[in-house]
Amino acid sequence: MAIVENHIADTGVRHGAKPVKEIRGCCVLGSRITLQVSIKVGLGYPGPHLTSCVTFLNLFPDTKMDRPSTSTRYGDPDYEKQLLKWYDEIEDDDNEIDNVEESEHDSCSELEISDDEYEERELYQSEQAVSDPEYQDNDSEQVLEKSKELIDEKESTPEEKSENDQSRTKAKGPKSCITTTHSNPEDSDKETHFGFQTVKESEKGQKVYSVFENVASSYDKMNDLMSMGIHRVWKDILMCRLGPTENTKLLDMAGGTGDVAFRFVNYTKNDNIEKSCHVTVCDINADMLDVGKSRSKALGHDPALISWQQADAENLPFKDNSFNAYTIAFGMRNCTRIDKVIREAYRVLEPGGRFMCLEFSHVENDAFRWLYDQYSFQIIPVMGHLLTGQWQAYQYLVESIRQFPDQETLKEMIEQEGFREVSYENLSLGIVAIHSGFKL
Amino acid sequence: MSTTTTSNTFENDFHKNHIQINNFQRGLLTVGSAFMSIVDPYRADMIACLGETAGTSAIMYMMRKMESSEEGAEILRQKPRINSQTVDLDKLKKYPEGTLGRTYTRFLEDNNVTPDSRLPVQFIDDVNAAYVLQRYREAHDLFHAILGMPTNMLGEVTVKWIEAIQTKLPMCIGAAIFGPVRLKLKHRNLYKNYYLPWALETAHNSKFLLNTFFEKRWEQPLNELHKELNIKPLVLPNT
Repeated sequence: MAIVENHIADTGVRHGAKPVKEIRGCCVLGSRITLQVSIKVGLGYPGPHLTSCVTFLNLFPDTKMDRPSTSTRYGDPDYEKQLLKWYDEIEDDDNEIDNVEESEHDSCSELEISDDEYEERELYQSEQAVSDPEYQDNDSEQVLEKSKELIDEKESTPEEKSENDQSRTKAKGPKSCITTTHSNPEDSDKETHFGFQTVKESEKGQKVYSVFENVASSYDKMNDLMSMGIHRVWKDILMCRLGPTENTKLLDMAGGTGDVAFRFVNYTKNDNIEKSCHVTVCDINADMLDVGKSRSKALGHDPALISWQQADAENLPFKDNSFNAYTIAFGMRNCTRIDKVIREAYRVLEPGGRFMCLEFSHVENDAFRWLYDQYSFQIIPVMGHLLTGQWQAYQYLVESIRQFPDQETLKEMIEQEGFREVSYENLSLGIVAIHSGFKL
Repeated sequence: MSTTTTSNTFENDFHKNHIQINNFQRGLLTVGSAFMSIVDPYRADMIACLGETAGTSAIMYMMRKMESSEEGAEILRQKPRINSQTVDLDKLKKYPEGTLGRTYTRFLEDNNVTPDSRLPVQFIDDVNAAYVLQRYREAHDLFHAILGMPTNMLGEVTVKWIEAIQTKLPMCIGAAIFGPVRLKLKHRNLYKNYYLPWALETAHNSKFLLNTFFEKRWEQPLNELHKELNIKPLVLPNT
């Protein structure tokens, strides 16, 4: 076995605001076997960590592979393009999760973009990054050293690595045996929480959908009862903080029954700017959207001001930079991957756009928290069962509030995805918090 | 359909549907569901909930009655369920007139009800007690069929009286006492003069109805069953 090459370079891809460095190595294991390894290290929160590790076992080196074998072309934009194209062809583990959401793409809107455009966008972004003078980090030397350390570590534990590889092997055809491991801090187990239960990520989406399917018709009534009407004030404050001006294009995510959208319409009407403003209400659940549509009709809104779109927050069918405001009120904790939701929000917002999240959060004050817990666990499921016959849905609701990240953690997650000037404001002593960030 | 599978099915269903509650929640649920049942008697889930939360001692009484009878003990052992999967309704429709099976299917057809509409027990912690209540719910339609009572308010209240006296469930007692409030005028007279006295008499004279293993008696003629259970069907005098 001989190590043939060993290089560290910028990939041209950014993980949030920080670059992702790639370490590549290639070693010959036998007369017909070469092993090429590519390790990407992300430098964003929470520090240097592995974002992906691709090993490429070439069993038939005589066969011409698409993969470029020269290692002296780093920094060459054409080579970067080729690399990215090759990485696109490798199936990620992520696709297993995305398959659940991809079926939602069947509901086409005029803003939906094709797969080709997605690729183009990625290439464009990478080209921008490469040619950006700011991209050359001052601390790139430190990074190189750290990466070298990582390589040394990796080489000393080959058994561990091969174990990892075996558990995630995916055959891609007779030519090669490609394994991909992702060890992002958030999806290392592929399991997530559903209230206090643990479920697979792929199952959570379906379970949440059925919770809301069952409660859609009495959702607003229950909200009023559980929060004693205070949720209306919280949403009013959210709209006040957003303070829409002319030409605001708002995307209201998980806004099925239309509470935030209607407040937006009223706010713009009050300021006489509704002609230039528009809100798109988005929700993964069609029943909630139906409730919203009928409410809007009953209130006599101009249908041109509001549009309704069924979509998954982790995979929006909108073009980049198509909105200048994004709100998600009480929807974030139902999403499986919060980081993906924030990332998508970042993508569809234009520079200068504002991200706002209104969500249940953690109460600091001990005595008040005890009271709040008692109310949540003793009274809310009972009320829910009495009014709707759905104990489990309301049990899930109060449990999911406890599982959601607290104010500081959510703030850091928003910052990690690239938003700036991230701040939060507690309402009702921390029962609810409004997080706000800007795409700058 | 072996005995072990039916017993397992109930246990599986029980674990799927079981919700743990504490006494404070139980109290709240009792009061709340009682209120909701009166306000909207069509909320079957509220009536069911009231039965579960308020009925602990009554269920114990019912279990003792069942254990003391041979047939009842057999039912408790096997834990049979009555729904469209366990009961072959098409086969029962073909039985001769006057049998339990034929009467039951005719009752279901005439009143447009299905045996699948019974809600699962959620708030009872002991699996045997939960089964007793589930059996009570599923047998309710059969009681209607055996007693010859329709599913309008009048028939329901009559059956509830009989159930209340036999099972001592607070939910039945409440429904029997407060139900007649909603009776229309012409039914009220019938109720006072014929249905109510008959219900009280039948409840005291007949045997414990839940001890009947219905699944083994589909072919039994109805009048024979009446003799066994000591039921005298209601006969309205022709006016």
